[in-house]
Amino acid sequence: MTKLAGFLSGLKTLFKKAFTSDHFKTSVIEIGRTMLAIIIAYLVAFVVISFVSEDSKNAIRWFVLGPLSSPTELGEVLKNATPLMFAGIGACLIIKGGHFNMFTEGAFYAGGLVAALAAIYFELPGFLAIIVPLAAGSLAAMVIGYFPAKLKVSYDVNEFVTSIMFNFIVMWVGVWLISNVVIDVTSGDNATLPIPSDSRLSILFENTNVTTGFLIALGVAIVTYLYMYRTKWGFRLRMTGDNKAFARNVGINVKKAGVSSQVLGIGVAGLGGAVEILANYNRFNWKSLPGFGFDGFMVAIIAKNRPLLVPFAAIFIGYLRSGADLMAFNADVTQEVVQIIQGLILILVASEAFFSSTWFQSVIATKMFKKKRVVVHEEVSAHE
Amino acid sequence: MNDFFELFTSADFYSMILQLATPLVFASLAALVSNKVGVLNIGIEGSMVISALAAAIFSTLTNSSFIGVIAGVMVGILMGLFFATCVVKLRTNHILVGIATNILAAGLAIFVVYAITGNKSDYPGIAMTLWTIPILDKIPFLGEILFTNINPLIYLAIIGVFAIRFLLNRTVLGLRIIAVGKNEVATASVGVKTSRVKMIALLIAGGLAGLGGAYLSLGYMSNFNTGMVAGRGFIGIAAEAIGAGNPIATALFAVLFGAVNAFSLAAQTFSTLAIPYELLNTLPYLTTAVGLVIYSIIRYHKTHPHSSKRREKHEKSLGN
Amino acid sequence: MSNPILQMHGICKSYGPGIIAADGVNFSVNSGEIHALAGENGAGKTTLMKILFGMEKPQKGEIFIRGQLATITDANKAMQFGIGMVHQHFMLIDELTVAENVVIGIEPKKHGLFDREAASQLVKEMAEKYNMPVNPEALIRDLNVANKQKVEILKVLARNADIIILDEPTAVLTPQETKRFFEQLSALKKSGRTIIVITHKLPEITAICDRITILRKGRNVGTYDVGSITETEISRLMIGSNPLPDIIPTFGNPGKILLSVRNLSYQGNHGKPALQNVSFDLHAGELLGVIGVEGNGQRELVDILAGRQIGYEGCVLLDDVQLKGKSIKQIRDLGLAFIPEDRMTDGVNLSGSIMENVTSAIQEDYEYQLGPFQNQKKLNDFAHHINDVFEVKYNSLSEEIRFLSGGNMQKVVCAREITACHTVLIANQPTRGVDVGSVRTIHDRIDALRQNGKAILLISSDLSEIRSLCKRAIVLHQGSIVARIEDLSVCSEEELGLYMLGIKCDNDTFGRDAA
Repeated sequence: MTKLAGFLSGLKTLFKKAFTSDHFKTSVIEIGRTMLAIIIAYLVAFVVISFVSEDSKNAIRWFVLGPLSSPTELGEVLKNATPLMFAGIGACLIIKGGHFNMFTEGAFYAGGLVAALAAIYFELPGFLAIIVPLAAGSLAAMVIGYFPAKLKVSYDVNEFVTSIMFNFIVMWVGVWLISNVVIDVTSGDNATLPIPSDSRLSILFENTNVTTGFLIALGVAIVTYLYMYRTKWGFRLRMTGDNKAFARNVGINVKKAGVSSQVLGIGVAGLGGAVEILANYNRFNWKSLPGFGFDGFMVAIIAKNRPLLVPFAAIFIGYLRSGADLMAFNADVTQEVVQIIQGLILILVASEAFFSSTWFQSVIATKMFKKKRVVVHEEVSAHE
Repeated sequence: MNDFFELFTSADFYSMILQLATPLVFASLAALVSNKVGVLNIGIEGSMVISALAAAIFSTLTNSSFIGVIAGVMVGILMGLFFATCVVKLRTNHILVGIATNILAAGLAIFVVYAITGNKSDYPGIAMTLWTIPILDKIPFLGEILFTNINPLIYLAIIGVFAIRFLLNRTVLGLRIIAVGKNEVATASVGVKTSRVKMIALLIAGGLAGLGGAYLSLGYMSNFNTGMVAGRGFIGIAAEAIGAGNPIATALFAVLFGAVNAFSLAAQTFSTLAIPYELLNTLPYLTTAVGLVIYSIIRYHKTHPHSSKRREKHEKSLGN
Repeated sequence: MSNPILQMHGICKSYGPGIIAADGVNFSVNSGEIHALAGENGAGKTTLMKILFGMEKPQKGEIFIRGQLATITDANKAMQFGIGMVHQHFMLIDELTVAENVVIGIEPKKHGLFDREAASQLVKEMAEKYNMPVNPEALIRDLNVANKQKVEILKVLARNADIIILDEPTAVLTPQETKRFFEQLSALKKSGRTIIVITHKLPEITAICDRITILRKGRNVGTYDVGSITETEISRLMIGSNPLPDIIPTFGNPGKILLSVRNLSYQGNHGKPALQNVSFDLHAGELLGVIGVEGNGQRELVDILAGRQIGYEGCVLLDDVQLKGKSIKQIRDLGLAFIPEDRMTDGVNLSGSIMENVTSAIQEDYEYQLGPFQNQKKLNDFAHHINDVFEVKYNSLSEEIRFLSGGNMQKVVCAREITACHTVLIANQPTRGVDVGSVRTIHDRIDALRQNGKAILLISSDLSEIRSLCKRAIVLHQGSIVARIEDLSVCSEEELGLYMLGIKCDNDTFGRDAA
């Protein structure tokens, strides 16, 4: 009898410890804030939809519940989420490294293009027919993206601007290539030759369009997490991103860390582009930037820059997008309303002051936190 | 070679430069004011998109391009207010707000155009009346460029450069903007309301971006197209970075980038040099990137005269 | 003759459960006096004054100014009541001129525009009136520390403050500049102003102040006329019991030379040379002190030795290995560790956890890796162990370090660096802003390191710290060594002050004699 009592009380203390730990409480608050941001954004969207639509109930129903209506639709959610996962993971690496290199956009494009070309012009057997184009796409992105990264680290060139310039340059060069150099004149479109079926990624779930790309994305998320939090290279990356002076002082080569964080992030984005093309397209025909780069940063912010949370954030955005597509198809509201929601969520989630100001935290938090908390006021200088 | 010569001696080319430079000048001034107060305003691009759309819509609603321009400026100020509220009041990271603004603006623009017209890209606008200044327009060559059939917003852009310089150097607000930008804590310690200063500066920047957007849809073209801003906001930011906080230098670099843009457009019609138009389109972006890099490298060497590589070279050159 | 111009009643302020900065403090200041507010770090002096100046809000308590209840919600309100504050860390805008800094917020206008000439004129007049000569057109970044302080005071005077709060005003002044500063204070007092000086420097209190209030752990433990209380009594009230005895340095015979610096010169970024021909030896088992007012080359010296600065002339040998051209990592691999001057920006990663901060020196070490990954368990054990040794008070290793107090944070930095030191430790202001208990812990561990045969270079502007730990010392002035002191215990503080100011300067024959 006493053994059982002992066991139960041990369990009770364990639960108490888990649920009252600072870590848990902060996580709960964080999740709560994110949920609240999402709810507010959705409400705003509903208001906008009611204004614009003649049949807003129908529109809203499709928007909110549409993706759940069939396995195929659910599959669309995952399919939409896959490129977002790659872009989000790439953005995590870049942001954690302390930079804002937006070349993930151009990386996606270049990765897709190079992967398509590699698949078409190298005749490879079996497994290699997939691995080589994917690697080639990722590598090409890294090679191009190396330049804005290195310039930022060595000469403090604003990488945001240079990377956006590179995005446009890559896009125009790509458009020129597929309209003139590698064009398949029989296709009736400015596009490449068809991608051989050996290189196409296979469908994962029946009756859906979800491919193995989704699995690759999950794998990349896990590998990135391990890299960032369980290896010394990830340690260097994070310390450099948090405080360069500190990282230098403990012997970290901040230049190398700064460049590698960006290049790796761009490589992941390039891989994402490659996967997207091999999964969903039979030719490369992008004539404009797909937009995943900026979206990736948004996903990363919502996921609090944590690679393991990126899949969740990406699936959520994928859900949003599917809902909007269905609403556009079945009702009279255009799907761009999604971007309004995304922008709002991004801002609300990223705001430090959004529900983390004293009136919320001090009221509830001080009741929960019974331990001593020392807050250094005078010495913490404004760090923005 | 003939094509080049013809181009550089034609007044039309220089008119084109002015027209292409104007939105860049407004964008770069917006970036300047934001930077002075210590905030890198990436949302200028998005502000320009929405302002251009607003200008087009209000001009057709009222059949007056003048009202359209006013609307563009007001919407620009509203976007500035949005940006400022998020950055100053909600304390969101300014880069993220900028990214969010651009995403929001792009989506909102398509959304509104679709909601009104049913198509997803174009909306008409009332073109602005062009001015011709008597007497001055008779000046050979210059008269053609500067005083004949010129959009008044181009004049406004030129005036704007000097107005901003005046604001920063001679007014109390300008002094406070600079002070807040350089050391916010110190400025706050004497009781200056730094949040208010930041908000005002960002509103001014928003208005400038609004002028840039309105010029695009009512001056440069006479309609709104969802892709019309095409990175001009970012090029303006780059021009400001190279201009290093000096309004006149900033404007000159904006004009330089405008010139490259004009050249890339004109070169598409060259008969002797057949460069594909896609590659020509990369020129403005390429020049901006290269310009920014050169500027940064020069600045780097100025502030790091004793970097190790230079030191070794120096020591070697002294003959060990 | 008490005529209170300021009265604070029952002030209570806490920064969270368990952290009480002010516990029912009553504080009263008479008109026209110079009143010292004393106490050790963390006693609540700055907090109390920040409340007075509107920068913090108390949970309880009232403030009366000239007999009237005053609600001070922000700095503007405080200034309306005639209160001005000169902060410990200067609040000046480097890129603007003296005149601009002084008038910002109360700018004179002409036709609606900023009137620069009027601002300049105002500064000139005030500078003359209060004997604080300074050039109104000079840029702040070109001024030295004493002049910057003048600008801060002029700022306060320009706003017609007649209650002036000075927070540790002489912390960065040389003894001679301090004397001149006291003269300026007397002039201000004669002009009818009331001055509150936050300080923990006992000699200053007795030299210039009329009355003193002592705070300890957020409580007012007494207000006295300065003439009627001895320094020992003040010290006892501040610390609470007899002051901890200084470590009695036990100096054995120094061992071999671990750090050898010869003819170190460095130009620096400010025109004049930052270091000139500095040479010294540091032996194993020795604690060498580097005395000097901040800004005389100490920072550059540390940067060069640690590998943060290249581009110098001269030779630095660590255990007979040339340091020039080596990266920071390589120098650390040679066993050198350093405690940086500014822990907030250089010493810790504020966003990181305690664990990450305390293990960052060993994260790369081979023994802490498991294949491509890190050995989390070993790292955890290490972190727990040295935090215990250094008596760091924390809740959990994964907590973010910014929640620790200054003293605990510094202990983490010291724990990391002292443990990582295998040959030479460079400690730059290791106990600045640290509470007395933590100071003792840090000093103990530094001395233990010395006894373990390592060599330590202690750079500090706190003379008592150097005297309690070191026997030998050098004095830096304007980048040169102006004195080498073989035995600190026989050297008076007066003499040290003369060296620190460059008034006295020994002929440096180091390096010319045989070693």
